[in-house]
Amino acid sequence: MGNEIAIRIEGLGKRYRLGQTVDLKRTFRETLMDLPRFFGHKAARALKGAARRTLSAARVQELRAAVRDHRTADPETPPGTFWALRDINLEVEHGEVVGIIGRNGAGKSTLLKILSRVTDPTTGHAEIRGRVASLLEVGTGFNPELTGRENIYLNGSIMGMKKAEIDRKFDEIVAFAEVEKFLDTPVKRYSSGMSVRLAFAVAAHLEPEILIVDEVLAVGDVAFQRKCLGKMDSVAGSGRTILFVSHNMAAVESLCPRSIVLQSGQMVFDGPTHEAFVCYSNTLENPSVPLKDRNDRIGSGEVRAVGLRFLNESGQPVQSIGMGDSFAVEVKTVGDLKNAIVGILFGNIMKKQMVRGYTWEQADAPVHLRGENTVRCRFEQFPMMHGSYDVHVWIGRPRDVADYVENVGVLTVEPRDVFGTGRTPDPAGGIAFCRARWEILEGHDG
Amino acid sequence: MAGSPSVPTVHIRPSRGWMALNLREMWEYRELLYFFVWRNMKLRYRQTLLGFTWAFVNPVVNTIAFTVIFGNLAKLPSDGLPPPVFFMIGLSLWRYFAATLGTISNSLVGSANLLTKVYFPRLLIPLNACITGLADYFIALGILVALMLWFHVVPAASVVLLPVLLLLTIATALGVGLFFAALNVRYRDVGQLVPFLTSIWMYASVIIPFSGIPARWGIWRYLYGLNPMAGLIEGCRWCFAHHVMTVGKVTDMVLQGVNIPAKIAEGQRIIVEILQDGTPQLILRTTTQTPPETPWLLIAAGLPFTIGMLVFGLYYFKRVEKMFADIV
Repeated sequence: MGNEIAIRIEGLGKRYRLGQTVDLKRTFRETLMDLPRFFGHKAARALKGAARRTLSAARVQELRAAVRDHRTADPETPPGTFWALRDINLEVEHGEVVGIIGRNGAGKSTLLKILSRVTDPTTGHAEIRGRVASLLEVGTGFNPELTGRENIYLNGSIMGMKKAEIDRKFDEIVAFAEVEKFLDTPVKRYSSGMSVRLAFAVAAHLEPEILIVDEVLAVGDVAFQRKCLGKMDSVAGSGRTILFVSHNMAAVESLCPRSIVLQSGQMVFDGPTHEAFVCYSNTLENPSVPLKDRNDRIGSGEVRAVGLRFLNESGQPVQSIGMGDSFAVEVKTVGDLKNAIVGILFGNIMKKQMVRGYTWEQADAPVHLRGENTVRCRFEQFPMMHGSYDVHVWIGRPRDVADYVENVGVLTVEPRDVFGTGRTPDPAGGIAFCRARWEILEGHDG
Repeated sequence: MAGSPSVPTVHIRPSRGWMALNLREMWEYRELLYFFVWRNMKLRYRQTLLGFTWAFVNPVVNTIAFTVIFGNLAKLPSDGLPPPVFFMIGLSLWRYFAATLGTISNSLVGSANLLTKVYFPRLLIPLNACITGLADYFIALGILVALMLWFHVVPAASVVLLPVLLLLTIATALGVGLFFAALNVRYRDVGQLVPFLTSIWMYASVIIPFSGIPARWGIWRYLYGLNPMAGLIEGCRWCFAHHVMTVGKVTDMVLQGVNIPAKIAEGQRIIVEILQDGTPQLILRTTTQTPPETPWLLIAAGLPFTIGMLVFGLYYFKRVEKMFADIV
C-alpha cells in the first residue's frame, strides 16, 4: 500500500456566522430582542452582549479578532462571519501518523469535525480513502441506565462497528477494560475510572484503516493512559493511518513522526514533529491579538496590562513548566495607580480562579505603579496538577477595578514524577498535589 | 488498492441546497437504527417502577375520561359505537401520533451530544422515534381488542387496511416532526409549542366523528379532512367497527313487542352496557350489511397536507442538518 494517499484535503475552509456559534439556546423572544441590535449596530457590538453570556472570554476574543482580521475588505468574509479554518491543504499517506497541534481555537477541532463529517466545510473538499473511525470523544452515546454489556454494543455500533464485529471482540473489550465483574451492572454505578476504561476499550478495538483522534487521552488514570498509548502505538505500528490531536506533547512526539501546526485557522507548518514543536511554541508567544491591543477589558483604564510572560527559574521565557517548578510571571503595565493591587489568576473554564498571586495578600510593601512598570510575581513550587491553566490579570484598588483582562495567556504544567516514585499524579486525584510522607507503624499506640 | 472500487471513499465537500436522501447509506446504517430502537425500548421500560404498566394505564385513563366527558356528559355522537370503543380507537392512533411527534421534535436537541461527536445519517434519529413509539401503539391496540371483545364489536374485513392508515399517520408525524425538530435546534420555544399544539390538535381529531357533522353542509364537510389526523382516525373507526350498530334497549323493545329470540336468531346480540349512573342495561345490537360511508374522501382530503409536510419537513431537515453540530 506504501505511498497511496489515505487523506487528501484541498482548500478546506469553514466559515462560521458569529450568530451561529454564539446563540446557544435561542428563543423567539431573544431573536426579537436582538433585531434592533442587528440592524442598528455592527456585528461586533452584537457579539459583545450575546457572546459574553455563553462563551469564554478567550473564545469571544478569538472570534472578535477573527472578525477584525478579516473584515478588511475581504469579499469572502461578510461582516459577522469568521473563518475557523481556512485553505487547508494536506495529504496523508496510508500508514502515516500525523499530529495536529495548535492553540485552543486554532481550528484543530473544526478540522477533525469536518473530517468526521459532523459538520460541513464551507469551501474546498476532502477525500478519505478507507474505513474511517473518528474518536472525537470516548464513550459517545453511553447511557448510565444501561449495563456495561449493553453500552459496549450501543457505543460500538455508534462508533461504526457491526454487531457481528462487536460479538467477536466482546471478550477482548471486556478484558481490556477490566470490568468483567460489572458487565451487568448499570454504568451509573461504575466509578468514573471504570466507565472511562470501558469507553476507551470499545474505542481501542475499532479496526478502521483511518483513525481520527481528538484529545481523548486526557482521561483516565496514568496507568490506563499508558495502556491506551501502547494500544495506539500498536495500531500505528500495524500500518494504520492516524490523525491525532492532543495537548499531551509527549504523546504526540512518541506517536507522530509528522505534525502540522494550526494557527488562527490556517496551517502554518507541516513537517517533522520536533520542528513542529518549535513552530507551535512560537504561535504561543504570538497570540492572535497581543495583550496591548485587546479591548475586551473591564475597568477604569488608569492602568493597563500590556504584556505578560512566564519565566523559568533561570529567567528564560517559557510557555510550560513542570509540576512543582518555581517560576515567575511578569506583567508589563502602563499608567499610574497608587496603592494598587495586582492579581495574577490561574483557572480553567470550570473555575476562573483556582490559585492566584495577589499583592494584597502576599506583597510586603504597597504597590505604586507609575508610567511603565514590570510587575514580577515569583511562584514557589507551583502546586497545581498537570494541565493547562488560563491566566487572567487584575489590577485595581479594593472594590475598584482599573484593568481586568481574562485569558491573557495559558500556562501549561507538564506531568512529572514529583514524588520520585516513578509515577505521575493522577489528575482525577485533585487540582493540586501535595508532597506527603507515609509511615506504617506497628500496633495502635505509635 | 488505488483506484479499486472496493475501497470505501468518503468525499467531503460543502453541501448545497437539496440533497438526495441517500437511502443506500441509510440501509448501511440499519444496524445502528436497530441499536437505537433497542436502547430506547430498554430505557423506556427499565427505570419506571411499573414498567409496561404505564403503557396500559395511560390510554385506559384517557379513554375513561373521554367517555365520561364527551360521551356521557356532552353526549356527543359516537357513530353508533359504544363510546369507550369509539374513543379508544381514536386515542390509540392519536397517542401514537402525538407521542411520536413530540419525540421527533425534541430528538435532535436531545441528541446534541451524539450529533456533535459522531457522523451517521441524521434521519435515523427521527426514524428511531417512529419505530419506538409503535411499541406503545401495539399495547393500546391490545387494550382496544379487549374492549371490542367486551362490547361485542366485530372488526370488519377492512381491518387489513389498518397498516395503510398507520403508515399515513407515521408520514404525517414524520413530516411535521422533522420540521419542528430542525426548527427546535434554532428556537427552543418549539419545545413548548409542540405539546400545546398537539393538545389542541387532539380535540380537532379525536372527538367528532364525520357523521357528527351536519349533512346539510354537503361538500364543505370535507374541510374537516384537511386535518389529516381527523381522516385517519375516522378511517381507523371504519376499519375496526363499521359493521356494528346499536338497535336499541332490550327493555324498550320488549315493551314494543319485538320478538327478541327471533332477532338473536337473525344474528343480533344482546350485550351489557353500564350506564353513567352505574346501572347495567341490556342492549340489542346488530351487524348491518350496509356499512356507513367509507371515509376515503375524508382521508384523501388530508393527503395534500401529509405529503406536502413530509416533503417540506425532509427538505428543511436536510437543509439544516449539516448545521446542527454548529448550532446545537
